[in-house]
Amino acid sequence: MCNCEKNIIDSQHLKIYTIMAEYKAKSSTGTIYKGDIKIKLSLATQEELAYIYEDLGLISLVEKLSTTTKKDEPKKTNKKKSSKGKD
Amino acid sequence: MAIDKGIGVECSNLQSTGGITQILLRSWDTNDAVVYGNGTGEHDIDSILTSASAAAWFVFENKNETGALTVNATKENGSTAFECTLSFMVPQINNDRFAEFQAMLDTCMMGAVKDTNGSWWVIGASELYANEDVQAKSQTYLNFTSAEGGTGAAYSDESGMTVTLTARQFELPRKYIGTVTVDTSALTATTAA
Repeated sequence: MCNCEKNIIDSQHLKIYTIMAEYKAKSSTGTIYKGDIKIKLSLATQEELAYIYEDLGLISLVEKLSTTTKKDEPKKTNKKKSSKGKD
Repeated sequence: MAIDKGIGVECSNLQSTGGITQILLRSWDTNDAVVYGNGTGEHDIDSILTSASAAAWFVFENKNETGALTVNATKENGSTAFECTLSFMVPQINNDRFAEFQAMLDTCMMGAVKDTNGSWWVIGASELYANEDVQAKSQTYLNFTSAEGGTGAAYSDESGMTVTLTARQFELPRKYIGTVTVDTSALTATTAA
């Protein structure tokens, strides 16, 4: 029997997804097959979970937990408050 | 359609193996939508959905090396029919198993089998002569055709049932290239794009 299924998800856009959000499998059982790719939910990496959620659109299997986009946003409100304080 | 390219054989093809590792079955639903792929070099199914959501399947585990998909084609005049037969052996007869086999008797099914080379093949869902508007009304579905088994006589005989399902369709089985999610814990599966 060949080991045809590869367990490799290596794509730049998936790495970006994992920086922006955290993904969690809704179930610890189940295996996803897509072409040569095989992903076991119980062993899936963040990039694999991002692939399932973002690329395959299987939102019933994986949930997106949080975003960290606020980290990079400019702190407009803080600047205003500090300038008021100085005046 | 004319022949448009040849077929090569490489070492990896010669190393390919027989048998099937997983069997999924489901009854056709009136809201099923199957998308067929017929591009150059393609004879596949892109997705099987129910009401635009992932279609639900059931996993049928079986004894190792008993599951087999057999395709026999016969051509008469201009018409070629493909008898696609799926057989598998379920060890030990019991109430649950007989109830499930009984349910197969009068339902129109489709099946997906994963071969040992990693490909998923769909039988009982084919495009040629399919119903135009309600795909579930297509008459090329997978059907229960026979079963054989029981307790055996000697204590060393095998208890179990070999089930045979057949789809009489007018094209070869198609490879499923969408996403298949299998949960062998719950014995359920889904197909999506």
